[in-house]
Amino acid sequence: MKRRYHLHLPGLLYVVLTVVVGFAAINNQNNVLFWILGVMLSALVISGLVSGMMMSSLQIRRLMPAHGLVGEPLIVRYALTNSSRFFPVFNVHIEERAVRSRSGWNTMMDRVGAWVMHVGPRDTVHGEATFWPRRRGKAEFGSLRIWTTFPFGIIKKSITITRPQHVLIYPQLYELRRGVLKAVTPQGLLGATVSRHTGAGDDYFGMREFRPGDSMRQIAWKRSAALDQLVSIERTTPAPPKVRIVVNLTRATHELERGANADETARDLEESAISLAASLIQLADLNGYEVGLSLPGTAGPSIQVRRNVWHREKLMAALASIDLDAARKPRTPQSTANAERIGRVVVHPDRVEASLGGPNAWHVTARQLKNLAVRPIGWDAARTRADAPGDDTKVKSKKREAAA
Amino acid sequence: MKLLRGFPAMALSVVLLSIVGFFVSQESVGLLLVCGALAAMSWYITEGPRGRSLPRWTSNVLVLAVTINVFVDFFQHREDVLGVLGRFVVWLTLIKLYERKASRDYAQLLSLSMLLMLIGAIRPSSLVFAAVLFVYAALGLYVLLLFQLYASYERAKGARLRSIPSEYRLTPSVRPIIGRGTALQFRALGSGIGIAGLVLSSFVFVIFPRGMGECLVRGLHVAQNLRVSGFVDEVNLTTGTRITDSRKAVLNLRLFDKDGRPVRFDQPIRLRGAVLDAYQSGGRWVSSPGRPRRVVTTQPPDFVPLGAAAAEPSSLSITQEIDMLSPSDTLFSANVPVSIATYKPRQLEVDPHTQTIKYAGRGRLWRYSIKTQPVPSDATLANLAGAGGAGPSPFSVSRMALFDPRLHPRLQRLARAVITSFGVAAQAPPEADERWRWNREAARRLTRHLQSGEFTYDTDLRDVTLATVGGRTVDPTVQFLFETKRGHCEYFASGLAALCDSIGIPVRLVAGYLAMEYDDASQQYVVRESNAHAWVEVQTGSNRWTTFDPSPPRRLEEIHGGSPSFADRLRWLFDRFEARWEVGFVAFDQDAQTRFVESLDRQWSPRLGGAWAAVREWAAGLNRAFYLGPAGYIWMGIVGLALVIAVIALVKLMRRSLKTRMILRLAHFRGAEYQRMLRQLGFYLDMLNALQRAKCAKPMWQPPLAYAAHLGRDRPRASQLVERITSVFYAARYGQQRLTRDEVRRVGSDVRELASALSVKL
Repeated sequence: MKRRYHLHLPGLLYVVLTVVVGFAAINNQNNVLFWILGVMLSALVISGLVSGMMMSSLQIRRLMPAHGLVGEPLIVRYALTNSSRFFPVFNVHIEERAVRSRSGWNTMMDRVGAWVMHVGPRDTVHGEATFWPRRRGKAEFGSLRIWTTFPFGIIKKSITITRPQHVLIYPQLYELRRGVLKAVTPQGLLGATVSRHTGAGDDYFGMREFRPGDSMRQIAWKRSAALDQLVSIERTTPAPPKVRIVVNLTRATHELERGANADETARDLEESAISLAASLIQLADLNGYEVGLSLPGTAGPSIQVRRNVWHREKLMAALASIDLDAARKPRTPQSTANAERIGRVVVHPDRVEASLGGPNAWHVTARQLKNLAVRPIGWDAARTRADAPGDDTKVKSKKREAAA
Repeated sequence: MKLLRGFPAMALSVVLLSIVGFFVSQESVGLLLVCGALAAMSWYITEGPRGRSLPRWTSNVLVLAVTINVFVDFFQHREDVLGVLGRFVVWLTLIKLYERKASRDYAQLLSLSMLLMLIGAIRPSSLVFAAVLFVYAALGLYVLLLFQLYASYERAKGARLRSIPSEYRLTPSVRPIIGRGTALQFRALGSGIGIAGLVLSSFVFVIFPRGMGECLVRGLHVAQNLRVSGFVDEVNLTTGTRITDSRKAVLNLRLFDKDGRPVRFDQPIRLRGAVLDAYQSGGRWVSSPGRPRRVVTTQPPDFVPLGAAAAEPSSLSITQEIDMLSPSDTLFSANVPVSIATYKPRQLEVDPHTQTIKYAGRGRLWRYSIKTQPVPSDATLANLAGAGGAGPSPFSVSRMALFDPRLHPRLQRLARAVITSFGVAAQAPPEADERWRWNREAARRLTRHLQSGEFTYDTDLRDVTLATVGGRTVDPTVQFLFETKRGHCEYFASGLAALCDSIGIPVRLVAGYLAMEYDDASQQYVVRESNAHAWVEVQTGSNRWTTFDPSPPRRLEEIHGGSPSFADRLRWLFDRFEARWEVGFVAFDQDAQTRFVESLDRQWSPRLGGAWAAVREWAAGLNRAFYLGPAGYIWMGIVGLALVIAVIALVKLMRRSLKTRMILRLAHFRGAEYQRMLRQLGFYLDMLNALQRAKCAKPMWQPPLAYAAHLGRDRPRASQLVERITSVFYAARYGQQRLTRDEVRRVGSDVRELASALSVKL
């Protein structure tokens, strides 16, 4: 923890003004000026004392969200606890210090501070800073600084605390066109498959003796009457459609073919491919698909097909953690083996390599993202910031306009 | 939010107050009304239902126009630079008031208002300005604190809104995050800061060295038209620009003849207070330092002679009884005092040469009686002077040149012209008797000259400033006699003294009161602060000094004897405050600083000494009562120390019990169960304290075991101990398990180990 007093520009001007008033008081021997000089000097002392006292009684914890998303607000909360028994704390600013690392948060998002107006004695208040991540990856947070200029804005007192933490920023998600996934589901002509396990479906699976805890509705009454013992009906488990997303990252960035668009870089293509894969996973999860992920060419593991919240997080985390600067691995037979009877979507950065993903795979390239996507999730082109709720001045000006 | 919503109105109040303060200091009522109205109107126009404000370009043009105007104003009023600057700031403030105001504009407005008050303060300060300044300081402090919050809120809101991409659908909240009881705590903190600021600023005001560095830059020096109210034992013509109108009663005077009958005179009675026989450059009259004084101790109820021996009885002897309503160290007497009586034994210092009396003891002298002789014989005067016979006293010789000899030729020309015009010889005769007569005649003629219509008596001289010739300030007495010819009693007396001194007449200035207001009901004279007066005494015998009052008697009667109107009576309160303000604050100089420190020493030393003596006496009494002997003090010290330790321990125990009861929620336990819990579960409190001291306090919301798991990532050993202590605590607190002595000891050692693992002390 590092404590510091800063004399910033307003403080410097204040000191200069105090010196001038002091000179005027001495030159004129004017007692009112002497008193004003006393007030100004005492304000300087009190400013340092009060801000120091406030800062010394303050404790802070950073409450990091589980993950962030490119293009979505990343709200980092700060729990400020005032341990003082009597004195409140006012006007506290919190700002993250830049981290000198490739994965430092400052390389991914702009600097935003949090502000807390008041923390009462023995009270805890949560302040929040809203970051807007620009790219995916692991964002590292290091030290943070809390400062205040209260009460007079003359002296700035700050405390720097080191709290290393990190958060994963997931790739940007797009809202994809409806029916994109239907094209790749394998049961198109064969129909939906049924699991070979008992479950809570609708179809009949078999019968078994009654067990305590079975519902009355599960009891096969006719059969029970015939056998003179209670028998329960077992139902099948519906087998959801499955899809595996394969992101082709086997070729290094510099080997990719750039398109006609001069602004489009090879790295953009790779990022678009990862975003498209994440969007497909999101869509598949929403539509009840079981999803798996393969990342040929990277160190990332091949993730099995499953469906639950944690699994989706695992997939997203795998996509977020892809290090595109790392050396690419050659393609292995396992990664392309058609071992599962599932739909496959292979996402290529630049051009389709049909050999990847097997014969039934559905190939898309990153350039197709603009055709497949409607808009980034959370964005609306029709609305602007001026309509934002909570902006008092805008609302006031709109009311004035309406009145006019 | 309510707190912040009130900020614009408060800021406007402060700005308005600064405009009022500036124009009060300028004494410009017209501009005050115009600018005040414009400032007040700005609120309705910019913040009212229409919410109109000046466009930026318009305000820029106006600022340009005002800037051009300031140059024109400067060339028209070169002598009033502060006024020009202040008016410029006022116009800028008004323009800013009509602009659309962001937090930066408010910062500029507040800075401008502060500048206005500073400019106002440089000028001579009146009580009204001081009152405005005080209100401004209090309100300004509150607004400044509020501004910090307001500006930060606006900045945080703006930054958050700016950071949101324009096409993003959802907007995060921009409401400030506020804890509980914000407004109340904010006001309490503001009040605390205000009180601390007042105390500190008063301290700085009192201790800041005065008198050094005055007129460092002569061009920037603004003369302070300070006012002296009431009687003071020196006269300063450069600061005493106005005699107070205060009707505060200072003393009551009763006069009795030799048979004890009350006496009333038709003529005003001059009560002599201080005799000032040294004139310093710059218009300052003081008493000559280092003059020998005779110490007289009174023995009530008898009168003690003030001379070397008892004075000769005289048929014209008058006894005066004085009740001081506002006591001072100076004793007042009409005519020449010969003996004195007080109601308690007092020690007095008598100046045998000037026949003035000062009180030298501690405490205050509220009442005294003095026997005086209006026409004392030469023997009585010699007795009082202590010379033992006739002949000039050594002081009368050394007083021959009071004024700067360089001023004498001009003064002499005037004095000789005046006295010769009345038929008095221009030169003093060589014989002593003739000379005393010539002194009297010349002084009478010079007095008459000053009382002629050529000189104007005025009690308010704030518009008179001292002229400078060749870089040197003109002597105020000379300026009065030759230039302005306007002044109050001090100027008239000083003028007469200067004229007399220039032609070799021994002269001295007397400061005191003029008693004219006689109350028939109580048969006494009532003397008020406004009756303060100065006159002159001229030597007309070896020990005889004759009074000459050059102030016009008609004007004196108007001022001192006029019956007060209803408005005058209403002004009494204001005058009283003004007198306090001017004497206590405006005229607080190096001497006042010294006097203040000495008075502190006088007041506190006896009190502290008395308290210490009382303690010693009490201890001795106790020692005697218990027959403890010489070693009794040691025993008493030991017992006292033990008592102090016991009280501290008791307080700590009670605090710990209360804390345990609160944190462990033991309120619903009663009797032995409660006592057991209180006795046995203190270890859990120690554990929490240790964690808090190690800066890893357990949050209130987190269960202890979950917290222990959290702690285990960084401090595994501490985590284990916390778990172990918590399990014991759970068993005792919720499992109703009575801990054995061994268990209590074990858990105590666990807590100590935890403290050492966390590197903290319990």
